[in-house]
Amino acid sequence: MSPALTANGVALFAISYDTVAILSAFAETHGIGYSLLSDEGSLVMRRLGLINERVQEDHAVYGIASSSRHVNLPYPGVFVLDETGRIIHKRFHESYRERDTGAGLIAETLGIFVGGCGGEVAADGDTVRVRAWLDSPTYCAFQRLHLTVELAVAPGSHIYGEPIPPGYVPLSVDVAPIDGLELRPMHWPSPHPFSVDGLAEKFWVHEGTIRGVLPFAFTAPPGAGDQVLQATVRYQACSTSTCLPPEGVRLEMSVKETALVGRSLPAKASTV
Amino acid sequence: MPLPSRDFGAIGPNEGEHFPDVVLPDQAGHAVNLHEARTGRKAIVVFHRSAEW
Repeated sequence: MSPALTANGVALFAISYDTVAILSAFAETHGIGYSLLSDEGSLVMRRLGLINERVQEDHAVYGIASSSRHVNLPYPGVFVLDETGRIIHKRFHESYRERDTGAGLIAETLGIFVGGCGGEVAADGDTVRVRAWLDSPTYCAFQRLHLTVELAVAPGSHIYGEPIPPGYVPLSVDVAPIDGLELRPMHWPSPHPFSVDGLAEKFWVHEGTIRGVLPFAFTAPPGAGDQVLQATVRYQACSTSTCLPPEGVRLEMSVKETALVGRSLPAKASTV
Repeated sequence: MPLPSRDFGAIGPNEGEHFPDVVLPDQAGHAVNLHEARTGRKAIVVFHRSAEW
């Protein structure tokens, strides 16, 4: 995450209530190059209104044992700042189980796409080239990952968005169901209005290169094992003179299960 | 048992506001002024639970 951010001119800070000694050891163990800031006593987090006063109660819901370490904890979350220091995006999660991968967060909030972090697959057609990649080659349970699908449409051609007249096929991505796989709505750029001389129908189309981002998470308990995401991208490409038949491109991306930092997976996962 | 509902958009400073000034020691023990350390760049500020557990 950090090299991608640095390359794109984005500073990264991670703030927790850990002591400098703990952060120093953590940074060394995990080769962390960005700033880990120590808010010992949680004074800054309290000043910012980020402390979860109900963490013990929440942990009870999740079956986590009560501990004196579980006080003055912040809600987990992220602020994205512009060049002037203004907050342009913030996202706080319900629990520590759901987290963003770095690249996906950057893609969603800053419009910076970091390709090839996870396995990238591509399908080349004459008119449309489809690429897809995950923002991480690994997942842990409840982590939020992102599938990015890119379509590069040849000059002079377009593919359809919605609304769409009957008889045409709009751009869509279907992901095959997997136990515990939770899909969020996919975000595409807005298509623009388009009409063809001599046709009364009104179209909404995409031209050039477009990218859509689909957030998802595997919510099966840790130990579910490695997964293969199967995505089918459907589209129909036309020019002002020719309409090609609808295409369905199937792409497969594998993603390996990992444990949270400092944790291990249940024993059964190691035999998979 | 479901968690009580909660407005997560209300946590902390709001979008559109200037991020508050923060000065904290980093992993090397050096005091870091977050806005100065940005040096005019965009930034991502992550709040997370302990790195230790």
